Amino acid sequence: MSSLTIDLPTSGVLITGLTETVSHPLDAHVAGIRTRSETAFRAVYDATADDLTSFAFGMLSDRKTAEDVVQQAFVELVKGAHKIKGDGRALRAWLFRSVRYGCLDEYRRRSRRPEIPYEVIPDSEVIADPLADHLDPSLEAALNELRKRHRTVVLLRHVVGLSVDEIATVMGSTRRATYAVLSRAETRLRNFLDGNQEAES
Amino acid sequence: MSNRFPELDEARVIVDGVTREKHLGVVSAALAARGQGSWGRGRVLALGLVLVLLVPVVALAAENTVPGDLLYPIKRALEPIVQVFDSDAPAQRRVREVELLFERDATDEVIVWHVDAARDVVTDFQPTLSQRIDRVVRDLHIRRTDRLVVVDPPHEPGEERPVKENPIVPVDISDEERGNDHPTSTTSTIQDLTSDTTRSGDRVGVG
Repeated sequence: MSSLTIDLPTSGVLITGLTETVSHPLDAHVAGIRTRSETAFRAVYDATADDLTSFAFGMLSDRKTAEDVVQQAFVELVKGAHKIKGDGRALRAWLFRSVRYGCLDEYRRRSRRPEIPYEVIPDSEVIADPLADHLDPSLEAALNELRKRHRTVVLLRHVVGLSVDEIATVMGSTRRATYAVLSRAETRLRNFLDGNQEAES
Repeated sequence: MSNRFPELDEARVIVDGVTREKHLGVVSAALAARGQGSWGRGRVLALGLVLVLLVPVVALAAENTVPGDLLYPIKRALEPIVQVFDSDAPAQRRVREVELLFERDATDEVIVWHVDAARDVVTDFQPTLSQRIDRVVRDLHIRRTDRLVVVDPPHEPGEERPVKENPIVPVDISDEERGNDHPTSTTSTIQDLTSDTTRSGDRVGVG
C-alpha cells in the first residue's frame, strides 16, 4: 500500500516524499487484542504460535519448556493488552520480546537448580525417546557456545525469519548494532557447526 | 528458513492440536479472569471508596440529629465507637438532644419523655449535664405557661378595646427565673392578642 506523506507547514507546502507501508497480517487483530477479544487472541495465536515456539525451542533446547514459555507470553499479553501500541508488526515484536524474556528467566531458573543427569532417572520414569523433545545434541552444543544475545538474533533471523529491523525491535537495539551482532553470531555459529562436522567425520 | 544454516531447520516446530487447545484454554481462562477480575476489582474499589467517603460524611451529618430524624439511627449505631474515645458521649448526646428538641419546638410530651431518658444516662458525677437538663425542664414550664391564650372579647372595629373582666393572669416570671439562655419579654402587643394561633412566643397580655 503506497501513500504520499504531505507535510503542510504554515508557510507553503512541503512534500516530504513517497513512503512505502506494507500492511501486516496481524494489523486486523491489534484492536481486538487491546479490547481483549478472544477471537483476536485465537487469531494471533494461530498466526504466531509456531514461530514463537520454534524460537523458544531454539533458545531452550526443550520443547515442553518452550511451549510453556509461549503460553506464558500469551497470558502476559492478556494482562498487558491495553498497553499494546502500534500495528501488527509491533504486536508480533512484543510477543517475541515476551518469549525472549521468558527464556532468559528460564536460564536463570536453570542456573539455580542442578540438572539431573539421565543416568539417575529411574527406568519407570524414562520416556521412550528422551531426545524427541530436545534439539539435536550437536546443534544444541553449537548454540550453547553462543552468547545468549548471539543465539537470540541467530534464531530470530534463521529460524523465525525476521528481518534485521524486526530483530532490532525485539532486541531493543538499533539496526546497525543488530546487524553487527548478527554477523558475528553467524560467523561464530558456522565455525562451531563446521568444527563439529569435522570432528564427527 | 535459511540456506546458510540448514542445521537450524531442526529447531523449527509446529504446535500440535493438543498444545494449541491447551494454550488457548489458558488464554480463555485468563481473559475470563481478567474480565471478572477487573469488574470485580472495580466494584470493590468503588464501593470501598464510597464507604470511606460516605461514613464520615453521614456520621457528621447525623451528629446533630434528634429522635425522629432520618439519620438518628445512624447516630445511635455509631455511638459505641464514639464511646470508646469519650465515655461521656452518650450522656452528653442525650442532653444535647433534649435541648435541640426544645429549640425545635417539639411537643411537651416528647421533650418530657426524652428528659427522662436523659436523666437515666446522666450520673451524679455529671452536674453540668444535670443542670442543663434542669434548665430545659424550667424552660419547658415557662413555655407551657406562655402558651396560654385568652380569646379577645368581641368588639367593633375602631371601638376601644373592652377590658377583660377576668383574664387569665400570666405567671410573673423574672428573667432570672427564666434563665439567661431564653430571655423573654412580658410585654404584649395587639397582634398577640388578636392572634388565634397558639405558638411559642405568643404573649397573653393584661389589658
